[in-house]
Amino acid sequence: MGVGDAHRQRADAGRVMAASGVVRPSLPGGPGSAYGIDLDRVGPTEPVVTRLRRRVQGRYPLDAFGGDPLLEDAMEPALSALSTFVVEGEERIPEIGAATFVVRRRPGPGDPLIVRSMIRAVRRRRARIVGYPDLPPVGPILRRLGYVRFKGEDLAVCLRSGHLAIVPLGSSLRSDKVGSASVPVLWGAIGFPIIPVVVRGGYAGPLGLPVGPHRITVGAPLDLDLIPRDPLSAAELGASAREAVQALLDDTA
Amino acid sequence: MRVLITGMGGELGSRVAQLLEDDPRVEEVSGLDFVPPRRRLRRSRFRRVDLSGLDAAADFVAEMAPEVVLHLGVYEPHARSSPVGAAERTANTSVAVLGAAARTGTLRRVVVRSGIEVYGRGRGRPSVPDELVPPEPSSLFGRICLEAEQVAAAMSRRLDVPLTTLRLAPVVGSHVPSPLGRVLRLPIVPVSIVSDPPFCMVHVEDAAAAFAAVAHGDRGGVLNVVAPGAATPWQAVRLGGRVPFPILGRGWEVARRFAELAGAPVPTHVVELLRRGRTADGARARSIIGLHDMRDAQAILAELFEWASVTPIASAQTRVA
Repeated sequence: MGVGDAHRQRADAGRVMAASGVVRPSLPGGPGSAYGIDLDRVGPTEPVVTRLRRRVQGRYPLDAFGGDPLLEDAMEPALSALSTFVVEGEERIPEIGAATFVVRRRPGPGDPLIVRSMIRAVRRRRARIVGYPDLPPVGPILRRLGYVRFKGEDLAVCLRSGHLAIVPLGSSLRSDKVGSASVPVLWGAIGFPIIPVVVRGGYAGPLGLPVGPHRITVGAPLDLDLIPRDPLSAAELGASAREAVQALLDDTA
Repeated sequence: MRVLITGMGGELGSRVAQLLEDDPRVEEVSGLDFVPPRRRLRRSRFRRVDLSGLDAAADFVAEMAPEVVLHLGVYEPHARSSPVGAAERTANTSVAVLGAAARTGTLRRVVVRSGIEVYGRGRGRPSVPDELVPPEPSSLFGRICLEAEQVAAAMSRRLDVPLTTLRLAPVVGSHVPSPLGRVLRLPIVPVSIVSDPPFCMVHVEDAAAAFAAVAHGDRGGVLNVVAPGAATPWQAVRLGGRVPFPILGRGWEVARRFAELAGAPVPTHVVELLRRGRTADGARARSIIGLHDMRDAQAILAELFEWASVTPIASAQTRVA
């Protein structure tokens, strides 16, 4: 079986499972049900003492990637305190089910983080950021905070589990241009909505964290039926995602 | 339907036999293993055979003329066999029993037990492989599983009968002779000092339910049978109230020796799991087989650690006296 065949089968499986509603977040007994904590939806904040007791006793859920939703929740207030945002097109963020947000990335790790904060604020859902350096100690820490590796296979599994994922495009130094999309990674998103997102304003603070007011525009999902699933035209898929983000950037300029 | 179960003596094989005994669609359940069944079976036939008795095993299979073979005779190193013994038993059982079943002409379906160890944990591999990721085992148990899969696949192709391969996550349960379970229940547990990677498991009851469910199907294919969620070694240590013993590099070899002295030999695939993690995507199996009420990873660990300690008979009698 060639790599292209595997990608096609994976995409078909994803479409069938998504359409049937079999795989969705918050399945009873499914991912995130441990200790009554949902891996997809942000729940009420527990008291600090309860959270500390959980850490000491090891009573917290983890997903298959090693993501720790309670640890992610604990870190979020620090990030959201740094930056504020105004959102256009928030109705395009799905209430349930999987989707991939293709995000323009300016230098630094800030834009995917600010989009993740926005999704939490708007929909009370957690989103996975695709791509982290696979080196200790940074890699394991980011993995625990809900990052997944920059691989199409991992993105496909993440989406089939019903999660939202954020895939940054390649970074660009020019403020009016977007970088290229990673075709081998975006293959994993076929079968699920791909939504372009652009972040403007703000600036990168310490450690590249987003600081200041941001304006976030969420575009319309790409029409995947127009994208051929022939492996030879894989480049066209990446180009479509990049063009959609560039068009959104041009429109909002 | 006549069902033959290889590896019926194991915890998983015995439980699958029990489930099939309760199924009115199954006329006859027979099994083979090198040890007797670990559970009470009411209407199953069992033949105890080992490496020296493979001809007898072939005769038993020919006499039974099975329609479905559940090949659970895939042995995990240090579960109940030495690593060499596990490899040899698996290879010989696969060839002898599946070959004999093929010659009967009655075979309609084959289900083989494999493990997610076949995906390996080499650099650049997907973190959470699904069924379409090509196998690339990096441990002895992974290679044992892959070999069993290949023998079954060759037979399936030759006879044109459907083959279902169930790749199980490490099977854990309070009574399962699992190397991972033994290590985690040690008073002092070796853990990696540089990483705390996630690993997944499956409860023996859920694994048995998966085999019983696919025994009746008519579709082939590969399915990962994995419980939802994951755990990490450091988390398991805290959950079980054990003492972590952080280890780096060559210290793992020393730790393996000590664990073996403590009665919990650690095979290479378990060391790999503790150092690099081991997860797989089980969403497809859950939707196709309908395993929606699987115990999650945290529940499996909780059961493992809540298991009461064994009370020596002598001291119990003294207390009664």
